[in-house]
Amino acid sequence: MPRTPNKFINPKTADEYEWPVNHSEESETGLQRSVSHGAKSGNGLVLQQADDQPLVFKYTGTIFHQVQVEEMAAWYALCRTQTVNFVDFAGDESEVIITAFRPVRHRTMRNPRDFANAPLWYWKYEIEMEVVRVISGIWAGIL
Amino acid sequence: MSTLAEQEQRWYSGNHVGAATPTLRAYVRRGHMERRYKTLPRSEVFAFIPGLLGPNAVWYGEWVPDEDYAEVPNLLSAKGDQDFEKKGVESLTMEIDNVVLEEHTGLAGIFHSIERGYMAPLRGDAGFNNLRTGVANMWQNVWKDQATQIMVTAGYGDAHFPVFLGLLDDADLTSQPDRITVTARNMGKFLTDQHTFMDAKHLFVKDPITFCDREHADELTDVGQGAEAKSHDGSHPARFVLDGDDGTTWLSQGHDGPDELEWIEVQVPPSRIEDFQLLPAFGEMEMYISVFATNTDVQGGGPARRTSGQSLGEGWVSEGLGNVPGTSIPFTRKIGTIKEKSVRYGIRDGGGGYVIGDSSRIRLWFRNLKRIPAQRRFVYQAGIKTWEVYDRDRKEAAIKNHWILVDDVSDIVKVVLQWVGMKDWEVESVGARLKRPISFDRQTFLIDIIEHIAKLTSYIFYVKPPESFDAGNLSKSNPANKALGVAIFRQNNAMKQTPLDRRYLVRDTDLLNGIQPQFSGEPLAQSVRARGRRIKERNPSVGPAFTVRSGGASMERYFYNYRPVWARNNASRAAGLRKHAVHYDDQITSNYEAKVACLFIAFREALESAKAQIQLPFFPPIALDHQIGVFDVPTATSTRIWIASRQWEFRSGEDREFSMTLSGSMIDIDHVRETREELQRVLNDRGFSPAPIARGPWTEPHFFP
Repeated sequence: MPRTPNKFINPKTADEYEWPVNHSEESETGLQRSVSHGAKSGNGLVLQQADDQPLVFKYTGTIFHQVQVEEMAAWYALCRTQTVNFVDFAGDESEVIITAFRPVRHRTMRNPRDFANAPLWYWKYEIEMEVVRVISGIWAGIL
Repeated sequence: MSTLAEQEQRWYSGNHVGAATPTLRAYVRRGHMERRYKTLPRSEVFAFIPGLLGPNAVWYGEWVPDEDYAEVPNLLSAKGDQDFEKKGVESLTMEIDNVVLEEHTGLAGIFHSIERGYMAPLRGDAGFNNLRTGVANMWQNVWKDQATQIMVTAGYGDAHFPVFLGLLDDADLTSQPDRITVTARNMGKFLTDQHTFMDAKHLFVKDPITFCDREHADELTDVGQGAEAKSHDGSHPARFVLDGDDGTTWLSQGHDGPDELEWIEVQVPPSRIEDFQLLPAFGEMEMYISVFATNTDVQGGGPARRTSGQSLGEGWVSEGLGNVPGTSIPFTRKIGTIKEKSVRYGIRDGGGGYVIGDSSRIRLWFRNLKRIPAQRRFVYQAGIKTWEVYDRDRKEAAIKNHWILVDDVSDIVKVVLQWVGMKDWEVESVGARLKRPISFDRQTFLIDIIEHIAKLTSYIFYVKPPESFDAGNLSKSNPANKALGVAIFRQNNAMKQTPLDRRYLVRDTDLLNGIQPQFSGEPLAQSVRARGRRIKERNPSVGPAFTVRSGGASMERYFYNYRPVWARNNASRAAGLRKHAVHYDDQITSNYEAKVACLFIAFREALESAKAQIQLPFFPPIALDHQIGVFDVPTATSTRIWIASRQWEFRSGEDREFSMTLSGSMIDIDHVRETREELQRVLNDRGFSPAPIARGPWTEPHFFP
């Protein structure tokens, strides 16, 4: 079965970037409603509903190519001024702001995938994307 | 859109989730106040200014919006604060996130640009060296202009209630996080920030401006002459009523029954007659007043007329009230029962009077005659000791200096509110007139005029937001969004057993934290004394004037000594501590007024001595000067709280909060309640609690140069 890469799309220019390596793990993702419980001097509590907590994608993965690190850093920098679209391997698309990208180098005996630029190391990273709008997927129409 | 009942139900439920989620919205637009003369119907005219346009031309402020309302995005938090210490003007602090995601359409669909400083007032300005920080947008200068009007609405589910309408004071901008903190005050700002100067007041009345009672602005001249009567008893002719001597009396001939009709009349020269002073010989007679008007040499030219300007024509004046019983002559006023003392009577039912020509006549008719013993039988007679009919001439100073003439003292408040464009108000009549003119110079703020009247009358004043806001149509021309708020001037609700405002009851199960009652003996005096103006009295047997000594301490002033209920009922609760409160006030001109002053002071002390504070979910209809019932088992509190201070807070985001803190006095505590009841009894004795006052139509358009 052909591989479906994660993809960043710049809606402004239609530029796209397919991840050479998709993320390997996802943290808990979902929407959560905030309800505060104000203490009452008598019985029970006063419930006050607040805004829903934001939907955030938190992924971790591995990068073997220097160019991927640089490319993802560039997309992070782009999010300083605008949103971008993220399409995951399942085809779910969301408009997001990349709020964190933390690549950490790890040493290795040999990095055959990018021996020219990163011969003796690779990266493990965490990326966080706050969703502004869900275009397709299970939360479409809800957020 | 929810109803008030739905909002109440949501609030009471304590479950502010789902359809009852707390909501707050803010809108802004810019505008300005225009001031000009406006012709208003008689019911909206509360003062007359001789020498200027009138009587229906009123100097009038009108708020003109310059743009449509725009909703404020990214509202983080809002806090309101209002109490009587701040002259009844509410202040607002609002925090706004100054980052906006602006939508665009790109080659691959919709995206949003992250615009930091999107609402910064200087965005787009080419400041230093033509370097611009972004592109100018609709928010340029909004958070900088004093003309920015802010409307805040709130509620449960939908933002049903306007909670604040005011003008921007300050805006502080910070970055990281990018926020704007805005402070504003409600439209009462036009009262607190404007001096009594230029067109903030009536433009053509130069400062210092003077308010005067309408009746005191006239010179009165007794012009009655040539008295004639239907009959007299042979030794008490009609001419005795005009001799200025209370010892002489006109008496009609004796009749066999009380229902015989007698009359007496005087002639007047060309005059403006609105009232007369009558000292009858007997009380309880029924009296009718008739006026015969001539067109000869009428003041100001033209035919005889009412003081409202309406022409009369020669002959007996008819006001459509019918004829004097048993005659074909119409009357202008009927007094069912006259008092056996000197009383000023208006000549025309409903107020006003007549401008009539030479040899016009004023006639008084009497029935229900007095039964008098006469030569071994009883007869029924009418009698008058003195009768003064006044020609009114506006005082020179009133015309030259354009005094502002009012009837009820509360009219002064209405005049000032019209100057600042406030059209909606709840102003209670005081039922009292100004005793002497009062002047305000350009140093005083407009609010100081209202506060002066409030202090004189022990009334309260504050401004609350408009009753409604049409969020569906934000256009500047929408008349539903033109109101500036509602000005309240009234006797404070702590004095009322059943105020008109809706009252809510909350229990300990509704409060967010326990009620905090505070009892203090510190404000409570053991005796309250009021001292007024010095008393001087004429005594013909001694000399023209000398000082009257009255009271056990030979006081030379009007005075009253009052022992409050808490000092009376159980003096040992004060440990025998002797604290006195003495109040001097030159405005007090009778012992009754001194008594009222003592009771007001005692009532204020009682309110200060029993206070409480509660915190509960915010509900906008509960406002300043309202009463809220509190039933709290842990503190054994079952009382109404009269609200003297209200703070509310809304915070959005994940930690939403929507609450209010109310502080005030507990009015069902024994000594507060008993003092209030005594005060109400004293005021009701003289009909001061509160009463409308008769006011007449305004006069003399012909004085306008």
